[in-house]
Amino acid sequence: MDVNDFTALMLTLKLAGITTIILLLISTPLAWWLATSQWRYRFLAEAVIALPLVLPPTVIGFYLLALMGPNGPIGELVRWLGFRPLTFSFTGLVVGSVFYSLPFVVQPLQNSFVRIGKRPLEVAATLGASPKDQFFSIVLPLARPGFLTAAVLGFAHTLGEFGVVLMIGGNIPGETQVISIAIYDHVEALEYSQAHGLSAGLLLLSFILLMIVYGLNRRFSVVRL
Amino acid sequence: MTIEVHLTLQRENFTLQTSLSLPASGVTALYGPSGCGKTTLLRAIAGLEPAAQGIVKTNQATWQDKQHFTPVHKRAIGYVFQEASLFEHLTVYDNIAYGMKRRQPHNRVESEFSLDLLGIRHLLDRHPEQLSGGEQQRVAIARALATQPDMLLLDEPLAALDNARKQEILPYLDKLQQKLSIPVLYVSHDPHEVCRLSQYLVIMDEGTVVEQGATSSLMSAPSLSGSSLFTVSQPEENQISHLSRDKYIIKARVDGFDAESSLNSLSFSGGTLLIPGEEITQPSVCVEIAASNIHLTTQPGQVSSMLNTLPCSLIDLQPCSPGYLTVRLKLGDEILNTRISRKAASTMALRNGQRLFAQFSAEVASS
Repeated sequence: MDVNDFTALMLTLKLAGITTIILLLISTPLAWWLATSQWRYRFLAEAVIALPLVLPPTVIGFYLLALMGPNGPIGELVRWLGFRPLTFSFTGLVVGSVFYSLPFVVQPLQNSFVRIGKRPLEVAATLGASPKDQFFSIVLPLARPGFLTAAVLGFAHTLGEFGVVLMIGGNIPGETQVISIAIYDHVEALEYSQAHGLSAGLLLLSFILLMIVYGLNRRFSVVRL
Repeated sequence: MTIEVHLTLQRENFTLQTSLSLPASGVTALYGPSGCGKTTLLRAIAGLEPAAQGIVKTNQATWQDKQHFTPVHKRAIGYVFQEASLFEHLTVYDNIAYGMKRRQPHNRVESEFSLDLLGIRHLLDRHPEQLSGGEQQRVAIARALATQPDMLLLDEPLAALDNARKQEILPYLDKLQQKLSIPVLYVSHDPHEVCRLSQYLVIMDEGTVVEQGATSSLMSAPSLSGSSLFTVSQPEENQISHLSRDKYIIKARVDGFDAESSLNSLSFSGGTLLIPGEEITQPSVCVEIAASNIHLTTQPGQVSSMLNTLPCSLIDLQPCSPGYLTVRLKLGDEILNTRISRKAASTMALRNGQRLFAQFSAEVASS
């Protein structure tokens, strides 16, 4: 592995890590709301969140580019606030990845919240737990497998990101060149052995991550969480 | 001293409208067919139905009135749901500690006492999934009691259990009824449970209170005769039947046991009952009398295979089917219906208000 490939690998892991943390922070309240809300038009929100599951990444990337580019509304806002433009920057990649991987984090969380149901919360309330207390002492521990699945899926999905990065990030080594782009570069340059090395690495990493998810969930499910 | 419950709850196709003053001690049963609103009422008293409007007042506090609504977690209640609903991620000990940590009961010894009362001390280290259904429900009751609530609310705690598990828990509920000083509200659709465990009875139907009063007097109240509320063998709970009831349930005090003839002697408002069988160990039990097995006679002295002969008075006679009459009898405070042939009635020259003797056999109701 040459220095360039190593940089791409580290950048990818950093992107996936930061994105996962942000996603968990955003998705927990969002999934809780989706799981408990009685709002009539909740399905609209669910549909919007699920869009990245079906849209080609290039479409997401294209619209993000349009929004974040120098003439897009977000781009202008960012410039007005005095920041560097988001396009072709690592920050831009994080923003894009958050959208791209959102359903992979929201859905497992929402499912595990729904599965817990209202009853444990009612029991906790009759035992003197305030709503906030109920969330931390009952919901969080009971949803632990959901959080694990969400975190790993969000991380693994961001690892494999290509189309969105290509559209809004380009190919700047050390800034926006992630591993999937590096593989593409190698193939373009007919450097098959390097491409193979990176590809096999990514394959192995993804497999290990998914194995952890399913393995741990099986272990937890003994306690029927 | 009473618990005031005046609540209204409007749902799409259901309205709960109750105005109750319940005794502030002893076990009060909320009884009625499924869908009558008894569980909803219990939930509303606990504060689990925020849409319910009205007044909930106990001796200690006003939980709800026009201006204010105390949220569930600030009401000093113990609540036991139909399913045990133990926290699966916590051990039995931590389940019980969960409520105690938050409610901070003033007397730890009393909280510990609930462990012994429900016989669960040996289960403390287990996880809920390692317990039987009956053990889970006992832990749930102990968990509620350990917080030392001002009131214990039980929502059909036996309904989700099979008969063997019920028999396992009922003795603990008997003890609860004897040892607890706080009021207990007990939701049930099982007349045996109601008779065995409660002193006060609220009968509900379609979201309103049909009747309330002492359990022993209500269970055979005239207003209920002809309804299926306390028939045991009606398959359809909601079906109102105008036939005479098949079985009567009477609450009786156990007075003594004659070991030689293996005979229990019990007393109720109508006199002394003799029931053969093993010695009954509870202080009071529910006794079943089959309506079809009540024989009438004008003379007390006749030798009969029926163990019990008690004086009663004939309230009235009504035709029921060709050749038959329904006889309403008053036996102490109890009112019983039985069926006799028109021919027998004329031979015996029966008339309203007549003094008669009812011969019957009784057995301990198995709930």
